[in-house]
Amino acid sequence: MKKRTKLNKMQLREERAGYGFLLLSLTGTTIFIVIPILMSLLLGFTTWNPIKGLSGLEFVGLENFRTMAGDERVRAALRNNLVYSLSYVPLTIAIALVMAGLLNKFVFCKVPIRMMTFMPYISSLVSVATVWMVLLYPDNGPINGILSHVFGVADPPKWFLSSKWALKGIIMMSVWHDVGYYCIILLANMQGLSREVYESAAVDGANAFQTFFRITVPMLSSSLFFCITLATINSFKIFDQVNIITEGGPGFSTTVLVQSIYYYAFKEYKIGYGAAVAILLFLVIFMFSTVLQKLEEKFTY
Amino acid sequence: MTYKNKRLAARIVTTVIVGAMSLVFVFPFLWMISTSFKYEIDVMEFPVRLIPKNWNFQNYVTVFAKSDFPGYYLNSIKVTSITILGELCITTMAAYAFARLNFRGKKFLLTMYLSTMMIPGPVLLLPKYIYFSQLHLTNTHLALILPGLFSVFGVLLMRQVFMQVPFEYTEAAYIDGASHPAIFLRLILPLAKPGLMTVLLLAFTWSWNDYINPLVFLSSDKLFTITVGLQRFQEDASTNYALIMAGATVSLIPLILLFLFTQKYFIESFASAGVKG
Amino acid sequence: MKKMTSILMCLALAAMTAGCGQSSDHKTTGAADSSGAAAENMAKGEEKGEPVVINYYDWDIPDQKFIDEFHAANPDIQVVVHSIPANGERLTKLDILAMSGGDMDVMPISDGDQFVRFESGMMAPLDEFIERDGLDMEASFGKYAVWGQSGGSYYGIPFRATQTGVYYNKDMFDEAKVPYPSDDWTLKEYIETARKMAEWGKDQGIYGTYTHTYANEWAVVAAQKGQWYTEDNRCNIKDPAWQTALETRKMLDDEGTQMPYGQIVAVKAVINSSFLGGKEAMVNAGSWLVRDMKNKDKFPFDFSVGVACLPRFDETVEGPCSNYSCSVLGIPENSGHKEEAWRFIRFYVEKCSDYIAASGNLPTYLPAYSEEMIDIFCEGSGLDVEYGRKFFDKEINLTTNKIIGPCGAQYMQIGKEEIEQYFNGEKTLEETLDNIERRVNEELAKQ
Repeated sequence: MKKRTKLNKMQLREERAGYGFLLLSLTGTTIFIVIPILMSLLLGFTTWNPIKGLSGLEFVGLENFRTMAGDERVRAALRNNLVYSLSYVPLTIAIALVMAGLLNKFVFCKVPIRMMTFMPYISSLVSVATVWMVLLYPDNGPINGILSHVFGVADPPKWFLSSKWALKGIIMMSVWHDVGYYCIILLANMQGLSREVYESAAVDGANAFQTFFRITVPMLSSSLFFCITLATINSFKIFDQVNIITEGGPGFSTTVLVQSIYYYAFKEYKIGYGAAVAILLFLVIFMFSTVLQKLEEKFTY
Repeated sequence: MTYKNKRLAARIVTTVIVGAMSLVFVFPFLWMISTSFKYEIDVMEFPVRLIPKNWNFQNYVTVFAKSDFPGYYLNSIKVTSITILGELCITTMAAYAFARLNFRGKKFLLTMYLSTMMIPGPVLLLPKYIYFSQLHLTNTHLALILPGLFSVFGVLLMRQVFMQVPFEYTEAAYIDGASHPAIFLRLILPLAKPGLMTVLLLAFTWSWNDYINPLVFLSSDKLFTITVGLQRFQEDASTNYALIMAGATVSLIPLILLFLFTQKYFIESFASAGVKG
Repeated sequence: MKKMTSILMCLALAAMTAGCGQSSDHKTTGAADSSGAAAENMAKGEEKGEPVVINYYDWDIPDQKFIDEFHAANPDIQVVVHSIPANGERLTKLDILAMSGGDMDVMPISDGDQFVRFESGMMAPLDEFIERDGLDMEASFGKYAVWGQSGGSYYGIPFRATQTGVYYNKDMFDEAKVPYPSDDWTLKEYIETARKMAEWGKDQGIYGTYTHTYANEWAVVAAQKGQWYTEDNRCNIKDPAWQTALETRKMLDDEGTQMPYGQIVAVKAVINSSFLGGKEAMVNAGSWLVRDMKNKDKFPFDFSVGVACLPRFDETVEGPCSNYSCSVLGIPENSGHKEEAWRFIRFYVEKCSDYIAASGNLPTYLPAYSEEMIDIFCEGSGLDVEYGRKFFDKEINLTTNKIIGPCGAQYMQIGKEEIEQYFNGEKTLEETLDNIERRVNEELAKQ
């Protein structure tokens, strides 16, 4: 309470303005984000039959989580999510970094190239998934045509038809879709690096590769960590492309967690169980971001 | 060869390499557009032909005149424009408070905003469903617009942009007696144009491309937005790929146009925002 | 100044959201108000003599002329018809509306999905209405009546049925010089015919026949023999009839007689545009294909079509056979206008039969059946009345491939997930059947 007495008229005005400006956003964020988060947490410990309205709600403790341990759909989804994230994130960031590095220094026509790489990111996943589905059509689709005619692959993959290749196809498409975004972020940050360091490196006779790996990458480490964290969080939210292309099949080979939430909540109407899967998803994301944060503290300048 | 020439040669070589790489990014688009002008029989031909052998404009006639696409389009335009207008108002105001004003509880609120970023959107789907079903808002566009208005990422991005504006600018105005809304509207917003454009583009893509929310909350055909509409269209067109590609092309046009208009602000604002969350 | 701006901004937002709420709701009716307000308005509306608004959602909406007739006969009710997509999401869409409370008053459910919903209390029991109006369910709906019944109560009124036949492309059969299928054929003869047609169409990329990927579509013929449950109500997926049916589909897929399961999924093929697009010589499809045959804009085809009854599973089965399922109209428990909804359903069922037939679907109200109805059913589809009549045959041996019984919905879902892997060649038949048996029995044990 000491502070309040200290506020002069000017500060009071500022404080009032602050809350005034924040009012709408804060109300909305509370109603549509904060309270729903808390509701989700609660719902995870209930079973709820939405047909009976809110009176159909029943607390069951950890029951949902116990069921989950033996649930094939959720186990497959978790595995697929991990495989997806662990391949999608490194691929996306590595390609984005290399492209940003090349774009930053040694290239003509920067602007059109930059635009071309960014184009997939703004396009809706639904539209581009539709395109990729046909591109990767197993029998005589364009990509398999190129694989078999140009590269002489005798038995090109069956992509979304085969449980071995479907997830790989989705990873490929997602990397293609998102690289541009991370490339732009990294490029923007590269351009902000000071010239002096590069100049001294040039004087020392370092070649382009050495400069890139010894100077650019370390100096970018905090943006890199930002990108990795963002990509990781986003990668766990994957749903659109899976639901459009494979609906989780063949079998459970492309089922992911968000899709399981959708399935349980809106196909089987086990809203409580769906919320429990959502909590699992949150825990996984939380774990990954914590690890990334620890790594960042260790490795960034 | 002189040093300069060597550098030039290296530059040309990398341009070619990077150019080839970026072709990978546009190839699906080129293929989509060219296929949309093909006859069904030519779709799967090999070698892949980007310029159709026989031009067919009928697919676009079907999309615009014989399907529900125009309706989906109007719905998306309505939902997206209301959402981004509201979102821009709300997020910039909140960002101004966070970036330029001091008030008690700011740190706590900022932390709260930051931590909600970690929550995946789909986790909120079920509580939102409970809200909207109790309020009888399922199967209305409001179910898409209301949550869309409050983007935490937008607030944080704009906050970074606003923080770049030197404080001396506003202090002088403040001492001259300008109110906060006046400073916000006349000084900060105009100075933050590139950042605003970026948020505008991102907000547009998020809203236009939203799939899971319309999938869950909309039932009637005539309310469908372009994403669920395209899925529906695709089911109807079945294996008529040329027609599907025409639909996909049409669904992407507004995004690509907006992108072309705003792209020059991009690098600038991404750099100035620091994008460090 | 500061206050002014914030107030203006708030107002602008409020106006935007409010304006949007109004326009997005029931735009077409003119009696527009958001459904939330509808309940309140009802009381007011009755005083003023304004009609009560009821909402009816369907993926196959009735002719507008019929709705006009209803409005003329019932000026105190205003029906708003909403069209929803006919795809796999349709049930989810309807369920969400039904559970949301008061947003939907008349709901169609089909294909055996109704029973879970009847038992769960989602739908209102209709017994009181039926008794009050003296509606004789048996006489009115015959074999269809059971599709609206659960635990001795009625929750749904049958209104639209589908009956399966084998449609064949007569032009292709003529060209291949293969005799048309007979109504009394067996599964063996069906396979032979399909092979002959596939052999003929090989060079043109035409398949001999087509079996879609709907849940249990592979079981359409085997349902004449197979049992889904053992006598003690456990999973009976290892019934030899089901094994034969699964092996038959796999064999026809592998030898290229029909489009393989995985390919149908991958290219998202559908029956109507596939068969009417001339991509196969025969197809196993419901009577609703006649509806699509009438839609010449979307499915222009220039060959003549014949229909044969389903093949008999083996010599022991009495023919001719067909597979059927039935859609019912019900009233969600949450509806605030049950009386009005009931009046609409009754009018619909009794007066709409000709419109349903005209749209190429089978009506279920038996008293309305007549010779003319068959003509109306076929009119504009190019299908000869001689073939259309088979869907109206009362003597036909009807079975259903839908699983009606404990955990039926989960049973079908588990079956679909597991069997997909067998058809795609990733699991053996034994593994697949073991998995289904285990998973279904687990579900049954939970109950």
